[in-house]
Amino acid sequence: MLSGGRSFRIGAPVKDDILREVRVAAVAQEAQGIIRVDLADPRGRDLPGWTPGAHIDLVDGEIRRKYSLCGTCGDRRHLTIAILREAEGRGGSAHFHDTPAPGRTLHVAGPRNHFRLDEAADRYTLIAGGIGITPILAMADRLRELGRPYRLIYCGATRARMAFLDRVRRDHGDVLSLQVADEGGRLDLGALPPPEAGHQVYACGPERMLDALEAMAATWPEGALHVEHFNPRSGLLDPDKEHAFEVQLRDSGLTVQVASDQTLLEALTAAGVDVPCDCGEGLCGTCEVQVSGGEIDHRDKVLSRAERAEGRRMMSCCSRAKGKALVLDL
Amino acid sequence: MSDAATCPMTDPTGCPVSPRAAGFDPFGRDYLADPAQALAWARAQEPVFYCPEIGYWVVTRYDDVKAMFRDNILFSPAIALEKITAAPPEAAKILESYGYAMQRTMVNEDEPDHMARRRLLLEDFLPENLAKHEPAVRRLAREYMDRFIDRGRADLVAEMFAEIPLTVALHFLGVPEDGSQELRKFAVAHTLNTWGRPTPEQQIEVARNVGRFWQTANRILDEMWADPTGEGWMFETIRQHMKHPDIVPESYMRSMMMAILVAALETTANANANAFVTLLQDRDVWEDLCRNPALIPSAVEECLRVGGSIIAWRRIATAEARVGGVRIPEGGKLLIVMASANKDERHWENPETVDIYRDNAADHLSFGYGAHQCMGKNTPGWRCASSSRSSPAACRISGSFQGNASSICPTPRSGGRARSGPSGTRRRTPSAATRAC
Repeated sequence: MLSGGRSFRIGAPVKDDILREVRVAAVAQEAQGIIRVDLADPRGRDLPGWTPGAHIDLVDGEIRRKYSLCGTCGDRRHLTIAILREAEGRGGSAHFHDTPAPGRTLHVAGPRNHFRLDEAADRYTLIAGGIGITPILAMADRLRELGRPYRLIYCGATRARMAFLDRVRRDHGDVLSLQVADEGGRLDLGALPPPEAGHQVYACGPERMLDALEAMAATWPEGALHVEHFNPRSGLLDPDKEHAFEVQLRDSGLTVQVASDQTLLEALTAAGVDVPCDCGEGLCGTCEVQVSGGEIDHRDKVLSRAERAEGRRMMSCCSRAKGKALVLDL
Repeated sequence: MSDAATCPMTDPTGCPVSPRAAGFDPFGRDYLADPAQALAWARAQEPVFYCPEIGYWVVTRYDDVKAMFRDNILFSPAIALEKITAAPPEAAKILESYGYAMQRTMVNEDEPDHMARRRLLLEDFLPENLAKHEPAVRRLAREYMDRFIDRGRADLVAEMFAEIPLTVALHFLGVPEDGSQELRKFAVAHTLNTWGRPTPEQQIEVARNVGRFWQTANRILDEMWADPTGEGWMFETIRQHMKHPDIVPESYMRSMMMAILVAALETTANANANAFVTLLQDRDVWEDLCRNPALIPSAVEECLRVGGSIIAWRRIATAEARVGGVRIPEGGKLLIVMASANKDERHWENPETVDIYRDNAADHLSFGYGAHQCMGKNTPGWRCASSSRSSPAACRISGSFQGNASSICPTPRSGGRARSGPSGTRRRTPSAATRAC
């Protein structure tokens, strides 16, 4: 009767095992090339709550993609996401565009939040570019609910491709600045007044926009700008172009070899050193490790320019050694 | 009280102590039953506050607790096992009469000694070396469950969790099992001695038990030392002492023998009981787990997040420091509350919800972090997993108990246990468990 128990790897749980089953409750065309998907528990139970800026991983077999939650924060019956079909993408968004029909079973991981809204600021500027509206809208809803002063800048190429326009205008019309490029409303970031102390800027959108903001933020008060990227900085690991290196772990006294076809994170995990990880693409900052020696080849989107230059921290899922070795505080 | 009213209370740096901080009772029922809830106000309003009751700054947020664990030079663990309630001179005399000579152990020693020892003694705890214990643990879990599975009801704490972790721990250490009941009683005394607030009369009783614990632990050690060829971590420690007496001195080995028994006995049994209370309180959670046993490892981590058996550790600042924006003077003592960090809404989505699908549950700080992270961090998970992973049986328990949830309520064993203190090990109190049913 008690035979045939299952065995588990000793150590941290395997990420792919921790998936919650959900049912597609509704699918709606939100704008050109953008669908909104409402997910519900298959047995009608509550889903986990979440905070603005949070995302889930939507999983269908091998396909796993991250989407910001953009429904109503208090709605425990649904998790709502919006998916832009990315013509140049790896095929995940196209898959979800082509397959989700109401009633279909999918899996999700999360919610997790790497783009957390600091509710203690005095004033806020929220900037959304294109599909970047999803986390920003949840933040705007929350700030409205709290009665905090904020302004919302929402820019896009053309109205037909901008999701949630009606909702944004209805709920945030009085603080909204809508910038539609084909109507001559291109966003002029240069005109943005530098934030004063206590003023926070949250932005999500295309790389170009975030890069420009990050450059401007160099003269802003420390920590005033918060951004969330959609895409990793560069492609995934290409073993032909990488070199192997060695890491010395100062706290544990171990030396670990990182092969050219392996990430630092993979090598650490194999050596029994648990480093938490979420996105695996250098976007979220979960797998940060402290560096006390060696030159780092930074490939993440988390660290600021100053933090890179300092050379004390790196994201183990994607960043590597410039030279032959690194020393880590692990 | 009149003093307090006329003279506002200040911390050692001269800053005023807020009324909430002054009113915080680290020995109170609220904190001991649910430390995270009792500190919710602090996480929100005063994440690092001075508690005059014990003379410690209390650290409640995730990032601050983790940052302190990271820096074990600035935040030394030297006071981790200091008695939080001073003992009367008679108690010291009693301890002396037993030859009690507790020195530094792995949890409260500083660098560079700590890391040198830790490296020598880590091997048996590595995942690949733990794997070889799996068949024995599985066999043991099965044996215990077979005893009650057909009866249809069980007191899981008494009939399983109080026994299995102890047996497994002794096996892992290579310590013979005879006398294990006595050892358990002593371990509770040590916990109370270190973290509790025993009355002067209890202090005498506790000192006697701690003294006997010391003697018993060292008698066992001497027997093992006479023929140090056996398998188990304690044998390995003896062998490392013989090879490197400078790194693993005898005094260390003797102290460690007692300390490791406490770690093995108290923490694992409580973590197991807490885990099952957590899982059985929410029928949906339990049923999801039975439906999909692949979730067991993440459920174990989630249980450690919400019900880890150690509430807090203690540190002392070796130089002036800032924690969460608060200035801590050199010599300032800090109580770092992992149980609070584990429910910090700045780190976790839905911290109050038990969510076995939480894929970052392993970020919990129940095992500490960094240089002093629990070496046995993989053993409890593996024990819980092993005992629950005989999934058909687990599901069968749930099946046969359906409709009679009260019968599966694990009743924590009482045992005349006096209140444990602010950072002591945590066991759900009987009242908490009963309420849950």
